Amino acid sequence: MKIKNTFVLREIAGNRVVLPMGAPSDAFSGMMTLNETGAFLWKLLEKEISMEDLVNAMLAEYNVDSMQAQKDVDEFLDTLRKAGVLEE
Amino acid sequence: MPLFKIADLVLEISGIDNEFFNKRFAEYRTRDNREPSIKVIFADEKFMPEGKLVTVADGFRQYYSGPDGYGVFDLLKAPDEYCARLAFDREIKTAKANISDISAYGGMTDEVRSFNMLGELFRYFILKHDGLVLHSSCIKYKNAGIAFSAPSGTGKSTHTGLWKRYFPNDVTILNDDSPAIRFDEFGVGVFGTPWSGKTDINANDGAPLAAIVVLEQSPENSIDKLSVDEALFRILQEVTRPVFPDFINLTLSAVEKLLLHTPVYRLKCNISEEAVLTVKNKLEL
Repeated sequence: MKIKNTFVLREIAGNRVVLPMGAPSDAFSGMMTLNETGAFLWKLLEKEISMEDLVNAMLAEYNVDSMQAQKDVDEFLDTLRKAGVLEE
Repeated sequence: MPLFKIADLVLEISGIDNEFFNKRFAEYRTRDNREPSIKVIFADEKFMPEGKLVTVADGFRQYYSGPDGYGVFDLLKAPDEYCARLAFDREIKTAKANISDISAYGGMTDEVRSFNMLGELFRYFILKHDGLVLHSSCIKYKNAGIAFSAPSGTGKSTHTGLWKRYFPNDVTILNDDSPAIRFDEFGVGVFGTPWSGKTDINANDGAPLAAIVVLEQSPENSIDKLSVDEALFRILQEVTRPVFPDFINLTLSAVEKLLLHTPVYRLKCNISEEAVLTVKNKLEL
């Protein structure tokens, strides 16, 4: 799975903001902000990656157990799916 | 050569002479003898797109980007007959345009299409000069610029109309739809431009930008200051996203600068003098 290339993550005034870059539109609509973990996972998802590798990366980066890491990844992917950002 | 001053930038625009343009630009004529920041020529030459097609908007407007610059071309018929052509170099120091007469097809007149095309060019041009266009109705009250921003239909013009009504001598409506904002060593300035949406209410004047006020309709009047995080989302909704990716970073850094230097308030308001006074008192104007 990976992030569609029509979305980019930018830091603006201290906020990690996801911006759509696809079809022309009038404004920067349809945005979301990410926390630090979200941004970490987002960057990994800019290239094709498996669920397992995402969980392993979480375990390597953060002081969490595997259940918590799995749960965080699940929740984040769920958010991305609902926003139509993920390509699977 | 005809020179115009918009947002304290000198523009040379030649080869265009029609009633609509002359009327809308009359106030912006200048004798400022600085070297123009851009030279725009309306020519008879029916030039063709160069570079790669970036995207197509609304099914007919093609955007091109190449090593020498950018192009905006309105398709009349497939595959390569264009009724409007605009090309500008990467630094936006020169631009050429060609508008064909398509009155036989109905729709907007050549005059309006030329004017709108200049407006589109200006949105890119100002990004190269430490500025941006903010969708808002903007007033100058005494010497303070206040930009009232909100999605279309919220009542921006109605609200600024109230300011004009209650303070006729102290209020100038700089631009009712798309004022230009620029940053310099003194801070943030806001300026009128000839492109003001449907209303044609604008003035060739400017002021330091004291605040951005995001409007929401409400039965009661109240105002509160937004955090930078809250303001960011509101403001991004009111900034045109450039089609050309090269301009996206310029836009976002302009938005960032704007948010770090300008307080943003949320006004919940009805249509009354009290709504105006709520802002005036909060900003201590």
